[in-house]
Amino acid sequence: MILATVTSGQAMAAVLPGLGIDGKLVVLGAPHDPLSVPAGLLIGGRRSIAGWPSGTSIESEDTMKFAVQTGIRSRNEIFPLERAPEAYERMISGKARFRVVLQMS
Amino acid sequence: MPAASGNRAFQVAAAKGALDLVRREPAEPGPGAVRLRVEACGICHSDVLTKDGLWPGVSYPRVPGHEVAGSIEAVGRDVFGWQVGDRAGVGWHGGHCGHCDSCRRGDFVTCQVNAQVPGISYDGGYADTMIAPAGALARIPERLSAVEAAPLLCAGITTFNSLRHSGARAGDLVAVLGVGGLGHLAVQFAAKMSFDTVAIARGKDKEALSRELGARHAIDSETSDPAAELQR
Repeated sequence: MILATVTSGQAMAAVLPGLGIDGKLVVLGAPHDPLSVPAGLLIGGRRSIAGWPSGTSIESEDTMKFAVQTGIRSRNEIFPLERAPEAYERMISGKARFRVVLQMS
Repeated sequence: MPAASGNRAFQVAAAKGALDLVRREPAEPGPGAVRLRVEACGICHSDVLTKDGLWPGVSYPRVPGHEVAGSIEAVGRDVFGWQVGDRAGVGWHGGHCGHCDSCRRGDFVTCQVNAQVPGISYDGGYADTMIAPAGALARIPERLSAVEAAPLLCAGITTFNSLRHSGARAGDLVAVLGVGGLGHLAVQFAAKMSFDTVAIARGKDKEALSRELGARHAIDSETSDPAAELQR
């Protein structure tokens, strides 16, 4: 399986031939360009392309619980709320390592 | 009370507008809703949908933000199981109608009638307080700070949930394309779920990071063909 977190259809297309038998490309990032696929690639190896949207509130709880169990944490750049415009630009620039979080106090 | 003493919120006045600081008195939660005292709010790439008016039907002014962590400050009527002081957050899925075909199948995320997103459908978390439907609230574990919880409510759940519903089993090869905001979480989740985790990212500097996050292999897409590498 390939989990595509980038926002480029071209980059996704480039890794598609890397899928194994019954392999699946799961699209999480919303690309700004179309995803162009040599459709024949999907047939013989039963490969597929799918998307996935977030989840419900209880699945958010599952996520947080799993993060606590396993020590997984997001790496964040933290900004105070007053600097929201700057923080937003930082996230959109793609340069943040890796999420940007506003802290209210 | 003079307006200057109200709660802070950053709102977009119109599509492609700036984020403007405004002060307002906290709203009272309606039936089925609560008022959150926001402690942290993650910024997600998709906040651009609100900021630049790329989501159909956004009404302005609008406060963005759908990675919200805080605690409950006021509870509206017909809310069950939540009390003032409870730590709670809300993510991308910010509410559903409860009576369409999808909802009647328990598939709230694909609600056909009123699938709501905080910061798009109603004011979100770039603010001291916000109103959220109780059905969209997630309880925050004691051991997570608000700053730690916030990014897990969109970036975290999206990567975690897609992985565990993918059909991949322990030991299967899972490649994560891109090691950024979503990808650095996806690599950690995939590794902790015991997948044979491969990170594909641009540049050598991401290689060490990917391994640190738990990837067993790292592929530099600038100097090699990732598809060929995956087939090896």
